[in-house]
Amino acid sequence: MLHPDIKNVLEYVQNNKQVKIHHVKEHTPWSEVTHTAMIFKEDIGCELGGPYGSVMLHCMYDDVVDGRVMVIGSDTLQGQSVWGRLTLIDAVIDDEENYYSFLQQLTLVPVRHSMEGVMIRIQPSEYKEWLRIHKDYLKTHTIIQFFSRLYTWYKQLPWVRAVEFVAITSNSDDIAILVPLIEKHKIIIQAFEKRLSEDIKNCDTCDNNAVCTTINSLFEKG
Amino acid sequence: MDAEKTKVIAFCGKGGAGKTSLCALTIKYLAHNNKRVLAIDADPAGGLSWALGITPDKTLDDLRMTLHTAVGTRAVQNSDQLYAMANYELLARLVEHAGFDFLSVGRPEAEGCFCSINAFLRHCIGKLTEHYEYVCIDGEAGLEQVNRRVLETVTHLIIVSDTSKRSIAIAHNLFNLAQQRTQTMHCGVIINKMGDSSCHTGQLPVWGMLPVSQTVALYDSEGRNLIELSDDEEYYTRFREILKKYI
Repeated sequence: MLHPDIKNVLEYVQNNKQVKIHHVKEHTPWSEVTHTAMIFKEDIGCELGGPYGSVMLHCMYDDVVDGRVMVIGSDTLQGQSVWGRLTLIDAVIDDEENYYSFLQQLTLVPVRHSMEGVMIRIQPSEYKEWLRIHKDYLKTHTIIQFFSRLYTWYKQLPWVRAVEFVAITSNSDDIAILVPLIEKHKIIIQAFEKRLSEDIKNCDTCDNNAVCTTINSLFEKG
Repeated sequence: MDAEKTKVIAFCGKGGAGKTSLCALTIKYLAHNNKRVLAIDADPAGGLSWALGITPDKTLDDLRMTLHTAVGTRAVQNSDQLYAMANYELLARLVEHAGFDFLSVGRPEAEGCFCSINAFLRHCIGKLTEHYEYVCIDGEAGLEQVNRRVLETVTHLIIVSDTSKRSIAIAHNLFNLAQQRTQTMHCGVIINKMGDSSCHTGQLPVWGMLPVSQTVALYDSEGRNLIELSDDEEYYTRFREILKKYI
């Protein structure tokens, strides 16, 4: 269901937006720490998302360019701006319960780990992510190192084959590109929840039959 | 920050005794001394926000309802998601002001049982406060509201009383209740708005007495920000001496 939409978004971005392309493998990952940071207003070097608007979405996709980061907008860490992050994951999925569980795990990755000098807050049900980078880290770290660390974390999950990112720091119109994907994603998640919670035996009577049919066709594609 | 080192100061006492003004002046004092301070307005009337010159858009009450709804509608499916959501929304409700941060508790909860949500929210607030050196809470009359809706642990309880018999009686009750809760908490009474007449405080641990201040009363009546009160104001000077000794 989402595959054609993701493809359309990627094509639209590449054809209509100024995109800077990076590869995480060419950058040292941002340093990792064990404790969760709180970055106070006076210590902020760069703030992305939060009050400035944000969209964050993880999608399973089977045409991932592993390690690629496409940035729309500034790719330097500075000031305050909107934040859009689309993470495409190519995963080994053998049943649909895994699909649902994997999506949940992916969403929580940034808050189950910590980066030095970075505060990440996520609102999973609203598909939002809020980043604060400490001012002391601006000169020595880059946004691609941030993605390089995320990439490392995602790749630690045994079922993840490849990871690709689209980052948007330009303006609210650009992050709105991802909103239709989120709307469809929500429908898929609701369908999963309904099936998992109600254990529907007769699919013909289910409201989400069309969604499930599409999901099943995705599995068939691999 | 070391969580053990966070000092949590709660102000309680009879309405009108001056706890909100003293809480605001404590925040002013700590911020002036470059301490990292979180101010929490736990009074539904929201007096502390006025005294600090802050207009919060959202309160912890909104967050309580948001979490309640999210769990009820299955918008969150597990504890990690709920925790992530609460931390995001707590930060969104934090008013980051020059010298201190501010949270408003808001109205008491609506009908229904909010015990589990309150306990969860208390835990999240507790984790947030670990990043501060001081937390100053302007409570309702009693400590139990603070304990139930904001934080379980209070290291310093300051009971504010004026010289009236009723206010002193309430101070006695609050002190006795505090003693029953924990023996290790620092607890003291400030007799505020002392006029010419004396008052009998009995066994209360009186940390200090403060005079009637026309300036503070004027700030209060005009809804002015007490952070702007002159450092030379005698009332504030005398209060600083109490804070230096006990906080």
